[in-house]
Amino acid sequence: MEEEGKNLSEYLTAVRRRWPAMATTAGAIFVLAVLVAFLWPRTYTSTATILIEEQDIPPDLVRSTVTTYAWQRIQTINQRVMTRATLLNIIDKYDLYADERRRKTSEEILEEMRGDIKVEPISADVIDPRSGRPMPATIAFTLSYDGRRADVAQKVANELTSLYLNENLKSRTERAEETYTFLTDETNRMGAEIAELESRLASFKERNVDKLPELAGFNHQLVERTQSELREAQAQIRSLEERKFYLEGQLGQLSPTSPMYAPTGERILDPATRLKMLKTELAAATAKYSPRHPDVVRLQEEIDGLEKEIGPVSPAQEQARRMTKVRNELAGVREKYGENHPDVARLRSELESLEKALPSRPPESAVLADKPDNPAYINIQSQLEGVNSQIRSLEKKRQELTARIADYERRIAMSPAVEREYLELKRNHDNAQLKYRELKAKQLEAQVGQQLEKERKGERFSLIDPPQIPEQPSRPNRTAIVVLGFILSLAGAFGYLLVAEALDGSVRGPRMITAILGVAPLSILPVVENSEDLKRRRRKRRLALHSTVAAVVVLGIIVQFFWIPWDVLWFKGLRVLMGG
Amino acid sequence: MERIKQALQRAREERELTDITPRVTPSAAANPDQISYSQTRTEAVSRQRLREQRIVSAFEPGPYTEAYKILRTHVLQRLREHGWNTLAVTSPGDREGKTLTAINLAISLAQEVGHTVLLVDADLRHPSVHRYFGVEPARGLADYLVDDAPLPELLVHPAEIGRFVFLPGGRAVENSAELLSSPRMGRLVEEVKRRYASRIVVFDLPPLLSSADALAFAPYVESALLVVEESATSADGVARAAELLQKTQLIGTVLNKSLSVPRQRADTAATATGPVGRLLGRFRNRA
Repeated sequence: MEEEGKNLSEYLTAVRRRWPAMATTAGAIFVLAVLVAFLWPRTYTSTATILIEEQDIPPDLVRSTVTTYAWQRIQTINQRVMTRATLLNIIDKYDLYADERRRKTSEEILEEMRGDIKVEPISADVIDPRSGRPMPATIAFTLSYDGRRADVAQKVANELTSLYLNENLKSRTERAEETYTFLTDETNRMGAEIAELESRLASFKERNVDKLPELAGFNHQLVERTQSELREAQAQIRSLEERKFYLEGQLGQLSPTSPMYAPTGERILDPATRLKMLKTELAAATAKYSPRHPDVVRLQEEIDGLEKEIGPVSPAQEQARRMTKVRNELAGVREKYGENHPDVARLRSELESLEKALPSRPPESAVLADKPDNPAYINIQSQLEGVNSQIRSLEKKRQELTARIADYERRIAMSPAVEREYLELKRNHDNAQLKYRELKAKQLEAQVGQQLEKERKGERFSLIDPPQIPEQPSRPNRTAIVVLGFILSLAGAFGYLLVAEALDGSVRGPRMITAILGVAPLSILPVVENSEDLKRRRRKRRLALHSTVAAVVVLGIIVQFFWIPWDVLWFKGLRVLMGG
Repeated sequence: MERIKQALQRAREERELTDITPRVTPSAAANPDQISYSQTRTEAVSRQRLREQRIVSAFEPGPYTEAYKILRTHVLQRLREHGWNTLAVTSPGDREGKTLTAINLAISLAQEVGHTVLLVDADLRHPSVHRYFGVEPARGLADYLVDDAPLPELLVHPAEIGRFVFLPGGRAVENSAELLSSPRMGRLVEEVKRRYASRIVVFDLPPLLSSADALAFAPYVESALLVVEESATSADGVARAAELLQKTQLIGTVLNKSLSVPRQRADTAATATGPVGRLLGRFRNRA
C-alpha cells in the first residue's frame, strides 16, 4: 500500500479534525514563550571599552621590557583579577547573587560570576612590519558585567575595570623592575667573577713572571747574552790561570826575602835562612867533626838561639814550609823544563805525598809570617795574589753565570706549559669581560625600560568608554522571545498536525480507500450530529470554559501566595509595559 | 372487504413462508406497492426518534439523503448487473456505523419504487437494529434458528416506512457464528431470496475482524458492502477486510462520518459546519 501525497483538501480535512489539539499545542507554546519572556529575570549589561595604546616613544629608540601580545596579557590579567578572593570580595561588597548564595555553594556562585564577566577583544587589521600583510591585532577590548540590576551592573563593571587597569600597570612595572633587578644581579656577579679572574691572572703572572710567553724572546736573548758572558769569563779565567802559572813560576824562582847586605857587602841572611844555613853547616860539621868540636858547638848554640828567636818549627809547619818550597820549585822547574821533565815529575810526586800526609790545609806557614821583603818577590807575590783573587771572582762569576743560564733555560723549558695556562686564564678573563659588557648594556636598557614604565610612557590601557548605567536590559529580549514563541507555536501546531497525520494509520479520506482497494468508495456519508452530539459539544465547551476559569483562579492564588501579590505584579507589569 | 383481502393475503404469505419449498408467488412479486403487512408486526416509530437515530427517512432531502441515494444507486447497479438480491453489510471494526448504514441503505432501497427490502439483523451477539426503531427487544432470528420460531411472527414493519421489513436479532446468543453457518440459516436465506424476486435482503453482520460470524455467514450472501469510518478504521483493517471478503463479491465500500462532505445536523436541514469548517471549506472550494 503506498501512501500518496496529500492534497490540500485532505490537509484541510485533517485540520478540521484536529484543530482543537493544534490550537492547544500552539496556545501552550505561546503561553510558555510569553511566560519565559516576562518571567525571565532581566539582565543588565554594563560595558567598559579599554583601548590598548601603543608606546609613546618609538620602540626603536626605547624597547620595552614587556614583550607579550596584548591579548595574551589581557588573558593573564584576567586570571589574576578573577581569583576566588577578588571575586568573593566583590560579591560581598555589592551583595551580588543574594538568592543564590543561600542555595548554592560558593564554587557555583563563582562560576556564575565568572560567566557574567566577559572580556572581548576588538581587533583590527594591522600591517605587520615584517611581512607587509595586514594581520589582525587586538587594539582594544571590552569588559562587561551582566547583572540583575542596572546600577549594580555599572558599579561592578567599574570595579572590575579599575582592577584590570591597576593590575595591568602593576604587572608592567613589576616586570620591568624584575628585569632590571635580574640584570643588575647578573652584572654584579659577572663583575665579581672578572675580579677573581683578574687576581688569578695577576698572581699567576707574579708567580711566573719570568716564564711568561711574552718574555720568551727576551729570555732567549738573555740566555745568549749570558752564554757569551760565560764564555768571556771562561776565557778570562783561562788567561788568568796562565798568568798565575807564570807568576807562580816566577815566584818560585825568587826568594821572599831580599838578601840583606851588610855594610861590608856581605849578604845578611834572615834568621830563617840563617837557621837553614846553620843547620846545613851543622850537618856538614857533624859529618866532619865530632860534636865537641868548637865549630859544631858554636853552630849548635847559634841554632838554638835562632830557634828560640824564631820559635819551634813544628813538623807541620816544617812540612808546610817544605810544601811551599816544593811547590815553588815545581813551578819554576815546570816553567823551565815543561811538564814532562823528570824533575817536574819528581817534584810533583813529592808534593802529592806531602799533601797526603798533611791532614788539612796548613795555614800559611808561620815561616812566611816573616814579611817577605824582596820587592820583586813582593811584587810578583802581590800580582799573583791579584791574579788569584781575580780568578776566584771570575770563578764565582762563572758559576753564577752558569747558574743563570741554567735558570734561563729552565724558564724557557717551562714556557710552553706556562703559556698554555696563561692563555687559558687570559681567555677566560676576556670572555668574562665580553659577557660583562653585554650584560651591562642590557642592564642599562632594562633600566631605561623601567623608567619608561614608571612614567607611563610604555604601552598602556586607557579607558575610553567607562561603564554606563544600562537603560535597557540586555537579556531577555522580550519582543524577540514573544515573536519567536509565536512562530514556534505555529510551527508546533503544524508539526503536531504532521506528526499526528503521519502516525495515524486510519483511513483519512476517500483517496486512501482508492489507494488501498483500487476503487473509490461508493458513497461518502457525512457526519450527522444528533441532539446528543450537540449536547456533548456544548458540554465540552462549557467544560473547557470552566476549567480555564478554574485554572486561572488557581494560578492566581498560587501567584498571590507563593510568588508575588497581584497588586505588586500589576505595578511591575505596568512598569514593564512602560519601560520596555 | 379490504380487511378480508388483507387477511387472505397474509395467510397466503404465511403459508409461503412456512413452506420450505421455494415457490414463486407472482402476485406478491408483481405489485410490491400494495404489500400490506397483515401478519408482520407493525410498530409505530416517532419521526423525532428516527431523526435522533439518524435514520435517513426522517430527514429532509439534503446531502445526507443524497449520499444514501448515491449509495443505493451504485448498489442497485451492481446487484442488477449480476442478478443478486442479497447484500451483507459489515465493517472491519466495531462502531463504524455499519448497522446504521445497513438500515439507511435498506430504507433507501425501499424508497425506490419496485423493491421491497428485508433487513436481517444478523448480529446475534449484540442485536441492535430494533433499538434504532425504538422497538422493544422481541424474538427474532436467534429464536428462529434455535427455537424454531415461526418467521412471520418475528418480522417487524416500522410504520410509515413503506416496503420495508426487518427481522430483529432476537435474544443475544453466544454461538452466533455456528448458528449463522447452520443449514437452517442457509435454508432461510434461500427461502427469503427466492420468495420475492423483487425483494432485496440486506444483512447486518457483526464486524469482520473481531469475530468469525461475518466470515462464516459470508458464503450465504451474494454481495457485501464494507463500511469504513474516516479517521477511525485503520488502512490495514480495510485491506484485511477486503482480503477476507474476496470470495464474496465485495461490491464496494462506504466512507462513513467523513468530513470531506459538510456535516449535517439532525435538528435542522442546514448543514452544520463549525466556523473552522466553514473557513476551511472556503479554502477548499477555492483550491
